[in-house]
Amino acid sequence: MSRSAGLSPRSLDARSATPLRASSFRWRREWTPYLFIAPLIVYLPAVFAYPLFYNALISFQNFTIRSVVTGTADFVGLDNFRAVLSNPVSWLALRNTAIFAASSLFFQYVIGLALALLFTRAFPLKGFMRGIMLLPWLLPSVATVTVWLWLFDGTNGLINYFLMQLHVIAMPVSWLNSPSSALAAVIMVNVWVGIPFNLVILYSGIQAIPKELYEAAEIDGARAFQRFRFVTLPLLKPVNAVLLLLGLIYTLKQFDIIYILTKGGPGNATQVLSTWSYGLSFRDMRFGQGAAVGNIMLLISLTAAIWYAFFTRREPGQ
Amino acid sequence: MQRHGMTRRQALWTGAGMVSVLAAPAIVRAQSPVELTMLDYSTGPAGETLSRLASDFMAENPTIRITRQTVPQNQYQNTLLQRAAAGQPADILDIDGPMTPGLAEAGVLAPVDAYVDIDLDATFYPAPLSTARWKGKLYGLPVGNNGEVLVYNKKMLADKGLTVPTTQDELRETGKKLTGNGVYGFAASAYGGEECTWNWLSYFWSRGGNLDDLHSQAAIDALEFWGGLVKDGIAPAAQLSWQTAEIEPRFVNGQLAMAMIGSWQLRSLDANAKQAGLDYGIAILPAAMKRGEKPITPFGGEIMAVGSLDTAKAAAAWQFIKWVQSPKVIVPFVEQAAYVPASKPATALFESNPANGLFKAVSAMLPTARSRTELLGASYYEVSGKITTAIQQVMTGAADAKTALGAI
Repeated sequence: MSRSAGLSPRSLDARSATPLRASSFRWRREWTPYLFIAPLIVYLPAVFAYPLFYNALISFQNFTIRSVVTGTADFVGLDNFRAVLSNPVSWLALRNTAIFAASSLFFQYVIGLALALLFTRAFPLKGFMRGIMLLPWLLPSVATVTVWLWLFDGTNGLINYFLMQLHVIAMPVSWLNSPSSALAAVIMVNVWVGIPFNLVILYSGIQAIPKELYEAAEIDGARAFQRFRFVTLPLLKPVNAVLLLLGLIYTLKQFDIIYILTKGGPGNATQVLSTWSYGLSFRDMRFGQGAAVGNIMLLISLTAAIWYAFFTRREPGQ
Repeated sequence: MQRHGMTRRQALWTGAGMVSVLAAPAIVRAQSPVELTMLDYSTGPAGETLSRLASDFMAENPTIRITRQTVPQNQYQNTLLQRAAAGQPADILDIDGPMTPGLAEAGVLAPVDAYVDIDLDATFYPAPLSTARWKGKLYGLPVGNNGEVLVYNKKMLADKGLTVPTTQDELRETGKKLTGNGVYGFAASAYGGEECTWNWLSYFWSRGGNLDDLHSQAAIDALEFWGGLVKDGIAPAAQLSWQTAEIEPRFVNGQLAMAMIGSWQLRSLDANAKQAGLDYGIAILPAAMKRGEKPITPFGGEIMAVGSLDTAKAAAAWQFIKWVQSPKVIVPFVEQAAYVPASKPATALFESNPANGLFKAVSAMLPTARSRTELLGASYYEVSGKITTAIQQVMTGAADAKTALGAI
């Protein structure tokens, strides 16, 4: 092949003879794209495909602490899934996950949208306030959630102190230590962490809506609420879809907030799929069952992602 | 080593250098030194103590060379498993006691029964020693133990004319009388995690319960008792979010009249209590059923174990592990780690130091202590997780003791 001739250093010089130059050019044109995607071809399978495959694999195995050493584990079919689904904790975790995800998404979105609308107006210290609003998202969750742990404390917590000063409550409430309030408390912290993300995405979504539409609506006599209802909301639809999808995935895999605040307690009251999966794998050493719960979580996220892909394909103008 | 004016690290390397010099004649006798790897998770002063032990040992035993490797504690078990999987096990390990069954079954530990030439049962307290054994084989020796103790506010007890409780009934009665005016009579960590189950075990075992029968009357009664302290307001519900470190300041500032505190927190408690001018006492857990009986309590601690399957290395590793047990060697190690000794000869030396008076109650409970893993082995942690859930359900009133234990 002429390519062998084209590999001489001289031929790589752009000023060399025309035939050689053409050959070198063809070589580059043929292989350059592969070089560009090579890191991805290595990276994706190593970092995404293999762990996913491995997790799927061990969810069908009796994978124990000994398996880590021997590298072998018995294939047990659907036993892990059966064990997990017949465990009463699974329904509790599923129920808690659903409540946690639905309430988190709802409040994050509503508060995020309200703040985004607020920030579209001009007011003093707007830029500073918008920066401050990002803080929950910027700070490491271990630090901020530990502060929440103190705020919620049943005897010395600041939240109890203020509520008692305001005579809202007569006795200190053990927010994190009562089955009736613990889930609400972890949802509250997750909403607090999630608002900045919703705010940023919705704010940029609102900024992207052409001003002429508002002007046209105003000329047609639309009031503020009508402009919001018939211009802002419909045009935010694609933004909403991606926001809800990312919010759902983020909330499903949320682990650190619950782990730091309650460890899934008291008595499973805040046990969600992620904390349960962790406990099964790393406390009970039932790696197969932990992986099975992980796969169930993945399946839920995947369903949402497929719905999203389907939804955006049908959107006009996409 | 410090008398030479060296840092411990320098001393270690110098020690290693001296060993190679001293070992040179041995090579002439066709006897190359045995190279051992010690894998542990001790950093800071604890790590320096281990390094000093290794260098002191090498100075006395020139035919053995020990190299320390340290990994973070949360990666320790994985590293042990990976190295065993790769056929390169570490020779000397420093493992958490309850890990022995799991690691033995995973094939990470090597039995040392063939090398034992000391009377183990005469030397060690039975419970710590039992955590070094699994299924009749010995894998190492216990290096030190900790546990929970009762701390009490002397003034609060004296004001009401009360004495320190020693039984479960007395704990309840005394706690009740001390509760009120923003003070809780008692608190013990019930935070999700090992400490929650651990704290309950004393009250369960002292009623004659066993971990392999959680549906027994003893289990139901013990859980009813333990949860009742919270339900009746003697102990705060907030203790479900507290670990020992969070209980300590609340005891020091007078919000708690009595509390269970992990012995690893006692030095901090003592310093803070002195600063706050708090007169407090430390006692054994009031878990006994009758006055004069000893409570049966759990304990924590480490096992120095052998990982190598190579007989020459395993024999040398055992030689080190045995050497560490001599009282003058182990006591500084134990003091540094805020442990009490697991062996009787070392306990005598340990208690001769007045500074160790803080730990007297821990030592006092050790002879009647019981291992958490003796019945359940590697599955202990799974059961422990379920017990924690049951304890929290009863404390929060989500279930009664029988229902909560029935779900296990």
